[in-house]
Amino acid sequence: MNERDLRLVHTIQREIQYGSASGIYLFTTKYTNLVRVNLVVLKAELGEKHMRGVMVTVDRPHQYLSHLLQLHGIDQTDLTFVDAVSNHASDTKKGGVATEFQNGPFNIETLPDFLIGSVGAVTSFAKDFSRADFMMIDNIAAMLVFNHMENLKMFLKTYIQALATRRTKPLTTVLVMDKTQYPELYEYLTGLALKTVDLADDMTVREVRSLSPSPPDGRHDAQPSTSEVVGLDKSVLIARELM
Amino acid sequence: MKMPPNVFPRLSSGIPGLDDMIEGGFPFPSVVLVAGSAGAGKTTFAQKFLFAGADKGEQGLFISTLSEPAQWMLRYTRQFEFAKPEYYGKEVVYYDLGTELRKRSGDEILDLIDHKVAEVMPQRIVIDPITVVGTMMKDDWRVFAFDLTTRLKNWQAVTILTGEVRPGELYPAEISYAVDGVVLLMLSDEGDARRKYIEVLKMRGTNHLTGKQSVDITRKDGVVVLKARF
Repeated sequence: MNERDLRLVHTIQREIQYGSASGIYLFTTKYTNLVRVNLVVLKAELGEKHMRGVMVTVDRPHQYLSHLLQLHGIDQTDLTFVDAVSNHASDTKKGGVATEFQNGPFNIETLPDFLIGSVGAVTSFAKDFSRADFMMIDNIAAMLVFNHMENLKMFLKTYIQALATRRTKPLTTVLVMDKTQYPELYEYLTGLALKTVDLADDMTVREVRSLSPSPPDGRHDAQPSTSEVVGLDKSVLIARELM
Repeated sequence: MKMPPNVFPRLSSGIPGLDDMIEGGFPFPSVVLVAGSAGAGKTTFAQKFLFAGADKGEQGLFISTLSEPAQWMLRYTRQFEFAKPEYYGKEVVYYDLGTELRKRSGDEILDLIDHKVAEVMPQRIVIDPITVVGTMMKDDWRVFAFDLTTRLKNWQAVTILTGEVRPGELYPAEISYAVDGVVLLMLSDEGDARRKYIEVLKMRGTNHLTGKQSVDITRKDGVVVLKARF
């Protein structure tokens, strides 16, 4: 990792409030930097804060991210992969980390049930997920290759509801996307995310927007801010509104 | 219910005139074979692809299979104005795979490439030339080619593989079936002149221009598609 990446590690630690409330943090970057930003976020979470997490891989088999983490000296003992694409990848690359395999990347609206439905179950993944501090998806827009936009919105809606109503330990969800690639998805996510951090090409922060408190008409609106602290459990507010 | 939009992110090729032929650039990520005979401009094409990315802050990785020291590559490339020497070792990283090819198995070579890609994290990769690997390796070349392209597609990058063609051959068939795109660079004897052409034979997910287009190689821009032809 270069200096630019390490600066971003500190930015991530500053902008994300782990452990206070479940919710989504959205980072936007150019599509060529998606993997790099994912790696930097994982460096901040696993390497610096020593948290437990779940990584859902949709864009490529989990082995690639695992290999990257290993090469960059980031301990992945506390990271569990949910690999949605390995069964379709015809890939010979080997991986040596804990992995849960989904049936496939299609019908992604079943993923919340897989994740949240594991609460209380007696499986190793249920144990991992219940203890997880964060979850990431590599990457959220890649789900659109396999699913309709409506299904992806349904997934996000159900996921937020499930986090708010069925999980006791707060879970921070970090999503990274190129906002120019899928503007409709970006707009939808900014309405859900506790905070949206827009990164410039050089990985510096261009803008931070925090979700404003729910207005009387119930419509959420992300407001530009560089230092606003999100103190309320807005995921609960959003979940109520979505229900 | 609406179908998902067919939006392929595109990475500019850096070759003047080529992006207009392929809907704005190479699909990202993808593996593209640039094939042609000796002197057709394959390495120049590949170098320009990397340096154009470096100008935009994108990381490049040049994997040479010829055991050619970096100083020689730099010496030849310096004739082009686009090749800024300050990029070498930083935005454009040079990696010599040639010395490893004879003594390692296909799986070991794949691991070496993987390791370098994971270390450099490039958005642009060049393997120049890929066809040399086939003549040197003991393992099944077609299996290796399939595994290589599968792995490269899973990294967040566009990879250019350059391929030397034998006389009478249009492109190296052993690798072309596995890649996402095939771009041909051709030399043609026309009277007393030898002209250069480019043709996009295949580009997945792209409504590309078909047919041969004239190209020139200039010191300023390297390979240039001549717009007068389309």
